[in-house]
Amino acid sequence: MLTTHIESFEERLAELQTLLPEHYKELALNQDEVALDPQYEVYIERERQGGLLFLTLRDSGAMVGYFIGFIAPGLHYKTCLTCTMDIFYVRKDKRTGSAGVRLFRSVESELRRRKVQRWFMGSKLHADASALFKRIGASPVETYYTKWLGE
Amino acid sequence: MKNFYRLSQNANVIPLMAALMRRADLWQQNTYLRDYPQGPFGEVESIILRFPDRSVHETQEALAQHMEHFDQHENHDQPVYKTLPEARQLVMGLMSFVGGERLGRVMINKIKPGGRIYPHADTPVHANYWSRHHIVLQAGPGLVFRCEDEAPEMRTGDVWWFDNRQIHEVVNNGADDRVSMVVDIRTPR
Repeated sequence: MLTTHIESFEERLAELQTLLPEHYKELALNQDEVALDPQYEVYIERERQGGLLFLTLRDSGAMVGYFIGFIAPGLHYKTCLTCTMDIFYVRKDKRTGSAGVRLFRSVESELRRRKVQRWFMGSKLHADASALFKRIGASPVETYYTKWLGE
Repeated sequence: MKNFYRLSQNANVIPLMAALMRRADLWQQNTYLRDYPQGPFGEVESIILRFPDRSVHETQEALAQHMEHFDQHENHDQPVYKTLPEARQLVMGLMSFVGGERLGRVMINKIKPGGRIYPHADTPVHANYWSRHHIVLQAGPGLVFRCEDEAPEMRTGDVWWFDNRQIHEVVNNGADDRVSMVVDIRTPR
């Protein structure tokens, strides 16, 4: 059984860290140049300020997926409370059925409860999640580019 | 949050949990809630510490006569309550904390991994009179306690008030039993 949970990032960090390496390995860019080294203290600070949503997907108690998003008034639109997705992940063996949709529907429910008005979520071209986002009623609005400049 | 409020954290529930571990037989003594026809508690084991008296009447007239003098909010200690003094200490501590005027039902409910309490709202005559509290005796990751659109994380040792007039459900998708003591208290109003 898969269930979704709004949890404390700070308190569940150790468990989250068991999933992050496989998430990084599957999706991160320039892995030979950029190591996985999150600024956890920034996440924790944002959570303490009420500006972070950490929602998990669990199976028999074990964390098998998560969504992390930042919630704040828009920098250009301070009257528009906005959620900007940071990352999401569903463990490979749980990507059957509707795990992703369930995760995102729960995120939406919580964002509505918090009176968030706009939600941005990103899909990587090398791991396209467009079908999931379209299924929950989101629309594509932007293509994001990257260029490696480091040595 | 409008349906939940955490009154306390880190209540010392270890003595009561230790007593429950020693007395596994208590879960089988009273199956009233679990066996209630079409009730939401079919997957729950309960130890009923305080409950109203139950009676059966042969005729409508006898029932009407009984109801004339029956206070449905009057609860009585069940014999098992005396064997769990660790529970009384927590209950009376909560009574004192919230300034309780009258003590109602007290039950310890256990939901096994994979089990659930199905969505329901408690009867208005009951839920309007009593304030419902939970003393969480054992909870781990994977527990969902939802009331309308809210589902706060409940941890072992937490003490919560919640609005049981609203539709609520519990799903234990954790690896261990979820054990919680329900305490109904008539609070000042």
